[in-house]
Amino acid sequence: MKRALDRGFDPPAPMVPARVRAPGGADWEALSAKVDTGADLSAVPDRVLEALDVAPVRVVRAATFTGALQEVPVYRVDLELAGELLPRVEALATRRPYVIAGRNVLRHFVVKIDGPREQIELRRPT
Amino acid sequence: MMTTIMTTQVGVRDLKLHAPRLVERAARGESIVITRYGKARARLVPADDVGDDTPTPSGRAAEWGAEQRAFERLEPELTRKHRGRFVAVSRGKVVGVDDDHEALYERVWAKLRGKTFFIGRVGAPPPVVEMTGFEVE
Repeated sequence: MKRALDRGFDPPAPMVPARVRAPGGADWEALSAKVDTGADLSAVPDRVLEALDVAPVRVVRAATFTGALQEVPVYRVDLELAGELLPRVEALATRRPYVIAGRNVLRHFVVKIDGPREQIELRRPT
Repeated sequence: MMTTIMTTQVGVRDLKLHAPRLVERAARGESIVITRYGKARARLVPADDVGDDTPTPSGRAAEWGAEQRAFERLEPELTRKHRGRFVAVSRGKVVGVDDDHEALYERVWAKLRGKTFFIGRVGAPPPVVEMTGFEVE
């Protein structure tokens, strides 16, 4: 699946459609996801986690861009990324309004970002 | 008994000139209303009146907090048997042990489907994950 990079960000960002639900749940929340190869784990907006009443499972220390460490809870959600379902993936909570697709989910995909053409391709390996 | 709270209005210029004194008066319980161009725009109140803005966990997040505290209570005993291993706790009891947290999660999730549980590593700090695009939130 090829998509144009999102020019709402500067520089344009690799955004793909995503859906989130509680593990095995019925209600989906439709969102956008930013592909972030620098993030070990994914993240989901905190308002979505709250609305879906998802409980955390464990705690990690997140190293932020400043190098500071912060203890944060890790949740499990079913994540649908670019139409592909990834059950029970780990995700932190973020105040951003979109999902961060980190390497724990990107490892299941072939990701190509074409900067000059401002395109992202995300697909399952054949 | 009725309590009367004294309210004082000050302009932005006076706030700049007398901020330390106004903060002290507000801390003692006086309500200081800041005006700009004659209109009330903000208020100084004692910090105790603001309350703790840390959200109180509710629902399943609160249940999980209880499981995390149970893990911490059990940890001295768990250290003797399971140091370095991952342990899952639900309803205050150990419900699984494994060297791999992913395998433990899948096993416990399948067993307790829908129930809340906490997974921690015995005798070790939480692992570090790189979230390089993140600020502290």
